Amino acid sequence: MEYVTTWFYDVLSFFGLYYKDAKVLFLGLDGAGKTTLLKVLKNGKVDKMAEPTTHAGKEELVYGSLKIEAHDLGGHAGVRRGWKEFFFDVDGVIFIVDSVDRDRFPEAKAALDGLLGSERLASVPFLVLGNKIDVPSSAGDAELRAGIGLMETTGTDPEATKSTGVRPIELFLVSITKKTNIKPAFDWLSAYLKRQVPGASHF
Amino acid sequence: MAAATASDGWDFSILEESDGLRFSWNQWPSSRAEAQKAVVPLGCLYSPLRQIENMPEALQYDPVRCKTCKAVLNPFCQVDFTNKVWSCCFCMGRNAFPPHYAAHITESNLPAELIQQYSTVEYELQGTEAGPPCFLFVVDTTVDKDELEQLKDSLEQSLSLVPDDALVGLITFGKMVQVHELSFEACPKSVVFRGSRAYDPAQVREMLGIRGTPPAGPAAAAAAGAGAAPAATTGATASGLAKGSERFLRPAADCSMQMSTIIEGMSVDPWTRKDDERPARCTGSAIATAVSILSGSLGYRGARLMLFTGGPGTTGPGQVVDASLRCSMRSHDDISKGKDDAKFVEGATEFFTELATTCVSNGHVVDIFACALDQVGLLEMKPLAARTGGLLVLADSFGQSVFKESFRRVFVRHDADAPPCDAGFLTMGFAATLEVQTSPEYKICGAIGPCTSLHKKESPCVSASELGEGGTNAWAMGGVDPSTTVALYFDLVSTDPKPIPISKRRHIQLVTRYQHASGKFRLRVTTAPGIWCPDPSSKAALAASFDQEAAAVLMARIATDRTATEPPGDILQWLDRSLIRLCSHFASFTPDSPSSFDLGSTFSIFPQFMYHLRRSQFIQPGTHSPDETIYFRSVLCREDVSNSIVMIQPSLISYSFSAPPTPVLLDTSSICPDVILLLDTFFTVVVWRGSTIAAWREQGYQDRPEHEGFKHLLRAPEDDAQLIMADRFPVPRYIICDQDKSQARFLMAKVNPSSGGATGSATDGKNFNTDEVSFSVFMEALIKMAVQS
Repeated sequence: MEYVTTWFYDVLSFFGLYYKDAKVLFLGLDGAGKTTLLKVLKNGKVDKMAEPTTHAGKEELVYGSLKIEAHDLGGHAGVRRGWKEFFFDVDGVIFIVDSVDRDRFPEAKAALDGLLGSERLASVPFLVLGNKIDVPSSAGDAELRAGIGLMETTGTDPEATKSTGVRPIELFLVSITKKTNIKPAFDWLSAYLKRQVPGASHF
Repeated sequence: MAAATASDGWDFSILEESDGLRFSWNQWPSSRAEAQKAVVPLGCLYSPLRQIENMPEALQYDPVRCKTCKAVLNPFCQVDFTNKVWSCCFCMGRNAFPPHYAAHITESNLPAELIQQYSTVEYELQGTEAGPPCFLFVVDTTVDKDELEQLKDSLEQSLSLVPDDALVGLITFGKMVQVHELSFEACPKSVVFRGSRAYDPAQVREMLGIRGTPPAGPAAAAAAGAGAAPAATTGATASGLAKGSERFLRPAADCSMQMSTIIEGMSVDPWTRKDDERPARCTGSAIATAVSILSGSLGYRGARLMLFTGGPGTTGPGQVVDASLRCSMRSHDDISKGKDDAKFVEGATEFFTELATTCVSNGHVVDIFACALDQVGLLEMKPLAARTGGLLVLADSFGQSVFKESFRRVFVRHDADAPPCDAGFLTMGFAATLEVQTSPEYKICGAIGPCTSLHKKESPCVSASELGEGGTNAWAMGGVDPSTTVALYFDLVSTDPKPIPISKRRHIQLVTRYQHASGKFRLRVTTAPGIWCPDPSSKAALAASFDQEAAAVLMARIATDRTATEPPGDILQWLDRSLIRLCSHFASFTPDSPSSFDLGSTFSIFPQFMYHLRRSQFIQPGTHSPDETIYFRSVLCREDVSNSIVMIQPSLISYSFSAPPTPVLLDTSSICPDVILLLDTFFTVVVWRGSTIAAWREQGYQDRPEHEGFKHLLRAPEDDAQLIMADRFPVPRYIICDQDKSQARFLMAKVNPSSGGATGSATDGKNFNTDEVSFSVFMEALIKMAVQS
């Protein structure tokens, strides 16, 4: 199946009809789980724990009929300054928050606010993941929303926001290492990515 | 000195300390078939400039060589004192001593090179004088202001570390290449080259007004291999430079003022750029210009081109990424799939490899100091350093000690109490070549390490089967320092299973010719004998001579070398199969009974090394970028055995109230809330505090007089970390962190997930969820496979 899809892409690109993969940025503070999410999506299993990322990573992911160019950027304060270099032609942002590390909610909020305020990302859909809910002490939906200042979101039904012109943003509580709740979150995001990548409807 | 074997086993450190040599097997099987069954190849790791305590002061005469095979006279040659002849231990050829030897030599009056304990000696080659070394700084100015200030600070400091008589030069680059004039005192002056194009060496010389040609040095001799008779340096003028180049390369003592002024005045590249573009950075043109200057001005003479860069090349030859930010730096994925973002990899690598070839033929070294939060194109530039014996340092910032302190350590000197011919000189050597001589029973397959084959196929010591840099018994090594270590692999000639007589010895001779920092050429000669296994039917002697550390490093270098052409999966499979075959050959067991499996003591930790090597960043890039991956691999391929072992299997020490500091398993079982752990991965040193310790610290117990002990407990691992970092190159990244915090991942990424796995729980902060195989599962599978009938 993958072979057929690849072949089809090759043909399309030959005729100049192929649109680039959806570009998605994986953002969040260091230790939130960006690299682990990328590896889970890529390999379907959890590798050994990743060292903190410095150099940006990039992987091609296939999600259903969607091809995603995923950029995994480092999250510690120094690297965050370089995030803006990646803000071109972005189709989606996944912002990951460690729902256990309450001390850093303000820091996460500041980083998220900065992103939401960026002109270049103004209409880009944001999937916010509250990670590590397998840990009993993790914050629940309400507490996390309050912590990172995300009281209003556009809802889990992509159809509802279809023509409102509002930037789609929604919070999902997940456990990346336990692979819990990842699918609904990705289904939500991919609904928007499909719409943004003309030509993808051919498949 | 022979690694004497005592009845209670081999001591591999003896040979390492006396000769800088470690072999995988110290007693060799006599036939190819037996060697193949032993799985781990016959090989050695050799550190040509290792500081050897009992080595005599450099001999002030040229070596005596065998007229037949050119091997150097050594303590293992038989001497006939009555007839004043010696027979070569390699070719058995008989040689008459030269007259001045013949006149004095007796059993009690031996020249140093014939004294048993001096199996490694150094000669100062007479009549060779290359002049002091040269340092050419090539500096990227398209970096943030803060970064540039940090870099300028380091560069200025280095002016006091460079020897007074050493030549220095300065090139800065951004969109353009600027070659700074150092002889013009009125105001800073420079010659500018466009960055977007490649100038050939003749054009560079023309534009700089370098009219002369470099003095004809011992280039021909050295290029022909270390074995050739050294030719005298001719035409060396006072500065020994091609006419016209003294404007750009001047003795440090004469131009330190101008250098300081220029460095101080350096500012961020002023060219404006569009919002969606990376700065124009012509790294390739800058290096090419520097290479042309060195080759045109100096010829074959020790020189280091030191590149300081803070980002990827975006224009001109050697460009590694599009200027547009809409395109991103190539990832492993892009490269393996040949995607568009990887379109520059091949061309840029070719460009830099070609420059490296020019450097190799002139004995020039390229060091790369890459300091940035993202990739700079180290992958493509790597041949420059690897082929010339250059240093690689990869750091996040020019302000980090990983850069600052490492850069200082490049200029380390011999102690003042070293022999006068060494004392006070830089320890680094230049323009090195290595030539290896073997006994007729075995041949050389190749070398893996910072070296380039000199393609001396015609030597009888060269095997038909190649490994790494093969098809030769001589290599250009370029820059060498006391830690530089090359791996050599051998192949037996005999297919005959009948044993080689016990009285027979095999020998190896390693001859390193290099330019000492004094400007004189040196020849270091190491000769080591070895023995053969007396009985091919018994594996005991072979097994007892197994050096599992050296073996692991030799395997790791092969695996790393293969990553250039094979996917990680194939390499893992090869490592697994090798380990299974090794175990089933050497372990004792009843077929099909895993519980009967017993691997001898000389192999006891080898499986662990292989387990950690498999999961290491050297084989599986994991989340590391192509630049990081190539960096790790390059460093692994140039360090000595003990440093390499730390890289393969990081060391972990546990500190607690209940026991003195203890080395513990690199395993989740070592992670406890009431201990402090000190992890050394070579590249990173981590002090990790368990959650209880961290809580006590937060409550300030260490400041209370009644908790003096806690204060000491907190300090001990930090003191030990400083000791580890004190003389390591590159200086490791230093992390202090608490359990469960983000930075604790530097530790967690390295430990074996013994109690993790799908069944583990993430809640106790000790285990973590992973689908990775733990060591015990790995070992179980290994034993099962090994005992299979």
